[in-house]
Amino acid sequence: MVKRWQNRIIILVAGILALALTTILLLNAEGASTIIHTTSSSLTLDSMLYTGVDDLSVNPNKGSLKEGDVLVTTSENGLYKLYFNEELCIFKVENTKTGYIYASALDEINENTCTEFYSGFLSSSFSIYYYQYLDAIANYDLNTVRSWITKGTKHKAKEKESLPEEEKDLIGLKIADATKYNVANIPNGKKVTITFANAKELNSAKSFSLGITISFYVTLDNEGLHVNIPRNEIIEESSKYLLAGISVLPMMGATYNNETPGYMVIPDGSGALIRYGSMDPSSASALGWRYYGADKGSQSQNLQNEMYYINKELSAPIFGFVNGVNQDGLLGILESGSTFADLSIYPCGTYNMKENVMFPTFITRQTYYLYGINLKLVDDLYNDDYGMTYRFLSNADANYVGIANSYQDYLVAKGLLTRNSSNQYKTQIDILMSDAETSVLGYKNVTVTSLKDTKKIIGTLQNVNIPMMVVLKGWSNKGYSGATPYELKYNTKVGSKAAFKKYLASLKEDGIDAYLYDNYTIGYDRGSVGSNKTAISLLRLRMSYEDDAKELFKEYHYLYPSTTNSLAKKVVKRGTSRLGLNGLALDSIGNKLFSYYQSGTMYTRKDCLDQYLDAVSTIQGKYETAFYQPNSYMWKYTNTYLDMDVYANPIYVYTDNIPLIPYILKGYIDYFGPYLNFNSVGEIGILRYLDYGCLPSYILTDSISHELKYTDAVDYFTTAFSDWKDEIVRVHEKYEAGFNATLASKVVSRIVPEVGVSIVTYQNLDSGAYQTLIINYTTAEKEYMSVKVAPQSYQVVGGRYV
Amino acid sequence: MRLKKIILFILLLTLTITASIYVKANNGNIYKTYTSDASGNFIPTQDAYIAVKTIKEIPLTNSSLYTIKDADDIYFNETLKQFYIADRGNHRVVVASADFSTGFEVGSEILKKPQGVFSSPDGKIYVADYDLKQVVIFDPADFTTPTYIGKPTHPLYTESSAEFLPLKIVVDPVGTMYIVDSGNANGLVTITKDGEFSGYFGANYVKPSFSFVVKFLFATKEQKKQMYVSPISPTNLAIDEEGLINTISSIKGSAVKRLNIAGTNLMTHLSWDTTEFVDIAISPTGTIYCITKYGGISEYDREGNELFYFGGHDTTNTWIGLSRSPSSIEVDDEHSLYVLDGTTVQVYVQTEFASLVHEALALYNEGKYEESRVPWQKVLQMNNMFDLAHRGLGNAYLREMNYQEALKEFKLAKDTAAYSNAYWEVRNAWLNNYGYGLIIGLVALIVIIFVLAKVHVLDKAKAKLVVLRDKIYKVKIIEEVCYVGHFIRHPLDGFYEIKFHNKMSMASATILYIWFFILTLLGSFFTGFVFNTQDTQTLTVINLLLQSVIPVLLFVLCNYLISSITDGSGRFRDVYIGTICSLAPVLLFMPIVIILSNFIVASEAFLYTMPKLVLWGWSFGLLFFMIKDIEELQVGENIKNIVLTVLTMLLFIAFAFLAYILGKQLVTFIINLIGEVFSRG
Repeated sequence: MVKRWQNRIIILVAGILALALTTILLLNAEGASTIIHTTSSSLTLDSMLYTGVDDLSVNPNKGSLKEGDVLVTTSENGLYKLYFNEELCIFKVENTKTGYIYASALDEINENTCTEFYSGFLSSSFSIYYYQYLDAIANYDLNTVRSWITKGTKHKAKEKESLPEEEKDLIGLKIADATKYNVANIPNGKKVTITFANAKELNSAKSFSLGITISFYVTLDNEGLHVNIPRNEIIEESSKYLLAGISVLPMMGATYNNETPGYMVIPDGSGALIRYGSMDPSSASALGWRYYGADKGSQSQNLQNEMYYINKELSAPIFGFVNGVNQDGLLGILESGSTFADLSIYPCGTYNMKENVMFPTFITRQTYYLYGINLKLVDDLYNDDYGMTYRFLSNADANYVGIANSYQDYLVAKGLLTRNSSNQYKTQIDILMSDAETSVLGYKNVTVTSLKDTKKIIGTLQNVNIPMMVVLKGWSNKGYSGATPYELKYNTKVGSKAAFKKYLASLKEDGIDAYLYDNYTIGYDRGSVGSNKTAISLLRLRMSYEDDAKELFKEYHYLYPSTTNSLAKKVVKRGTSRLGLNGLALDSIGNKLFSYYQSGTMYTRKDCLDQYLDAVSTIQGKYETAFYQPNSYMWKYTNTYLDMDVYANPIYVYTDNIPLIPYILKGYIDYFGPYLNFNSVGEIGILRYLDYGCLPSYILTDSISHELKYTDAVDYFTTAFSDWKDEIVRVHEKYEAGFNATLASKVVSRIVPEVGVSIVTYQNLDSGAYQTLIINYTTAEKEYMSVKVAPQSYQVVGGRYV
Repeated sequence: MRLKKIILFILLLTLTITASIYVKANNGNIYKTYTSDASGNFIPTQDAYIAVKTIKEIPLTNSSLYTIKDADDIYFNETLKQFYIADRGNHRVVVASADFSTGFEVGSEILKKPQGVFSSPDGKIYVADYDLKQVVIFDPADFTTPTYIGKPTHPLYTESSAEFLPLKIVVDPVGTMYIVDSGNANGLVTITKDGEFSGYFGANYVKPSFSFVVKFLFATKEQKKQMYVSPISPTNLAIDEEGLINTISSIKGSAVKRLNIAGTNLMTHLSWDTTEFVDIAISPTGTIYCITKYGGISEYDREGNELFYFGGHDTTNTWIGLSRSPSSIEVDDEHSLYVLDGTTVQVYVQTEFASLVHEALALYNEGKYEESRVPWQKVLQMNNMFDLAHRGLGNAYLREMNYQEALKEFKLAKDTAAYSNAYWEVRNAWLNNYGYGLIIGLVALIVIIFVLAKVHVLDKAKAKLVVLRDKIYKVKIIEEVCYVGHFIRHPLDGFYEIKFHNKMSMASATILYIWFFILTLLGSFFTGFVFNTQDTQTLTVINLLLQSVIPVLLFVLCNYLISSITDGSGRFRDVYIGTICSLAPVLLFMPIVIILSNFIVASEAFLYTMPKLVLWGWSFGLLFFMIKDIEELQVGENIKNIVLTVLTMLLFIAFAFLAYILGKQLVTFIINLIGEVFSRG
């Protein structure tokens, strides 16, 4: 008996010892040192990731008028003149300020370099793509066939003898056979009505009418050139030939043979340039982009890969040319029909072309694989008009900043952009509160920042006078990942409903905008809507996708836009009482558009857009709105722009990254960059934010990030406030003056005098005063405007840099 | 597993241009960067390399433009700061400046099919020419009259290889050439600086698989002849700062080898590898870069830990940073990477994050653990989930005798061996401080109890306890459960009592089964870190059930079935109760082992494994006798019975597996069908 007692006591003592030891092991905490940035490579600054030095030489090629070009009209202000060559259906616009003449198509082609594409497409102001019904397969040939209105004919040997020397090698151009072509005068321009023929084969006599008739209204006013294609004037006579797409004015702004100093401007990501002559024509390749990204509703569903690569979209329906920096420029705007449009880019050398060409194509009818198997055609044409506006830029405005400003003016004039910018720069602080990880029984909550900790973090930053806006993530009962759209319930493990509401109210009193993160566009099984709300694509398949990069919640769904809309209505109704909501930070709604199939009807991206605009306008009526990378159509409803791209896609043909999208919004909407937690290039990464006018943002947790290791937020691998506090304060102290100089102002110029130096001049929208930022990315001291700028630093100087 | 999917994805990649809903900050790259955690899973990390440039042309001094095409190998000479490109298409070597702004050609009239190039610090260029079947050495003094090294005449070579087909070459500081000889399975061909063949080096070995061995055993002589396989020869090589040769071969598990002078592989552990590597390069700090034929770039530290994985495949040659069909990778003295990809050289620059990792690793490799602490801390500030940094920091703390911190870091890094070392120090310190006190205290306690028992002071209390115990035992189920205590001392009686006197009911046995489950759960969560092989994060109820009661219940079922069709006389309840009672040693004593595991270090592992082994052995012994007694069998019959039971269990498992697979497919099909019907309605 004694022995048994002894045993028990020994076990008991051992147990207590174990407990004590474990406690000692667990009790450990120490502060951390600051994050220090040290190096940057000249290889990086010299790359396409940054902006290069402009070639300011004079452009010798300003275009010319040819025999047959007749003046149609002059704009009221006398700046622009519109000419028309009826024989070839070519429009030309003269910018009288600079003497530059823009042509809509090629009127002269050399037969030595002639390809079908060259002589047909590039010499036609208007061309179409169509689907052709083939009896043999009892279906449409869905490889779209091109039809253009001009056709080129090589001179016969005898003819050549009689031609003057300089014309011997030129191809004779004329309107293609069997094409019906009418021109009518309308106020300020021409109406061109074309019934297209299968003018595909060069020199072929087998032309016949396709029965597709389209009217193009080409007009000129003080703003520039307009091309309008009303939907109700598009006629398809035969069911044998169906319209697939329309390309307009392919040569507008194009330049010849890399002889022009300048570049093409593409709204890819933050913005990109292709400088003329940057690459050997033999290695040039074409690029094609869909505006606002691909249409997932008409694509086959093999899209699991999207999470691995970071792709950027064209978020504004524009493109631009600068032909002679600070001399001539052109901004093309897709005014209507942009939800169905592509941008085609052909740098000189592609298809052996001699020109740098960039033009839009309106897609009028799409194909899709029914059930993922049968290739089908959408029955009806998209019910939308198509419209283009070309704005012409002269002298100091003829550069990418001018293009940004011109588009800004356009948006402001149309009421699509209103001033929402504040005068005090802010830092975006996102707090990740909770997430979920697997447990022995299902999932368990992982709280990484309680409401109390949030108060502590925000309080600490307030104490050091850092102005902020706050986005709360993982506030809902199921945590951050895999639970959108969230239930309107706070996670009680983070804080009580009353405490949340009280805190949000107190933040509002302190003048800090606080947003709750949510996603009404992409939902998960654990989210607040059932799987019957998952949208069905045109393929008649549910739009459910797998994200293999995630461990726990892989499957996500696109929700019906009507569901998104009703979720928005619901939050407007109940958000205040249930959550004490002041602002919503909405993901995906700003940058996703897709075709879908609902209750027996096919809906287009435009229908999707209409639902989304209805949703966000409802929300904006009641709450502050913040969107993640919203496309241009959302800007009207955006109070705050989150996660602004600061790079373009890294594509070989691009030569420079530029802040095009940021500068369009500058002064009107405050925009924040991606989290600086994941900036792995050091100080130059932060300087870039200043250069782009992009305000800093961070995501923070109270616990160490390792706590997130087994959640789906595993990619937030550095978030601990203890790690980031000093860095946030440092960035604030270093950059406050710079960021404040960029607010309530628009960018007047951005000049790169040498590799690694950016000089950006801002003009205050209210006072009209100029301030200039000199940003030095390099590791050497630089001096500009009589001011010395330390390595990897910046200076704010009053006045304008010229 | 994540990794597999990533690799699969890289194979299947088509660049669908769509934005991710999870876009995080990025630094201008198209690809994301991953690292491998301590468990070998790929997890996201900060960008380590930024793809900055694609070089397609190099202007040459003879005023021609070299448009890169059909180039096979690129080498960087650190001393001369020059690149050497084996330009197979134009039958020459192009020597380019460090920024590729100028270059000149070498051997344009001499070379036929240069596929490998190397340059020594003195500027000599070594070219492996496949069609010439020779190694050509150019002296910088006169590039026009090179030295040729043809097929070795040594019998060792001529007997084993018909032709000399050099593909790749490196030269060590002494001047010995190491040559990849196409199709030569004996390893690398080594040739001294005087042109003498000096043997083979670094051959791979054939590791026969189990199925191969079985086949071989039963094969006829003729078949055996055909079954002989040559080892896979190394496909590429690089030389590091210490002059050690590193090779890559298409062998899963040891694709990368670092060979010492004796040809022994020093890289015994790779956290991840693939058979698709095409080239290898080594940085001045000793990190190893390998590139796959699909453009995936892996960086390892010297111990074979995967630091970063990035890059990817792009058949369109559109994206900077992705490759179509890379043939060679090279690294310069600033850790910038150069990937030769058919018609381009892609240039990658390390980020600050990677630079910190390299700095920390360099210090760590030199044994300067204390100095590496600050860089590791900075690395962790930028990625708190970087396990290697937790380990590095742990080692730094260990060196600084900050054991508590070290323990914390090693635990995060899941490094049990290092954790054990640190724990030994902690325990040692504790024992030094309190050990004597503890022993004295324990001895005193025992003496006191002993004395008190002797003088009968405790009798009253004891009597009270006995009364209390009897009271509790009046609850039948408790008495039955506690019977297991009696059972363990008198097992043979126990079986008899169970069978004939119903000493235990089904209900109480079920409680013991539940306890067995709980014990497994406790074992998974509370076994000391050094001995805990379970990843508690991935444990589920099913998982635990499969580890505990399900196999036992399966045994019960199978044994009952077998016994009832043979000569057994046990009822189901007898087997059910008897089996769990046989596990009594585990049920009663395993908690002690679990607690004990928290206080011992790796070197004392026997203190953990031995008791475990004894408990299970004891249990199995009891099980054996249980079946024998319950079923009333002879020893021989009993053995037969157990073997049959085990076979039946295997059959059950196979059947269950099949049913699971088929059932799952059926259920998915039905769910999808219903889903589609509803969503379309």
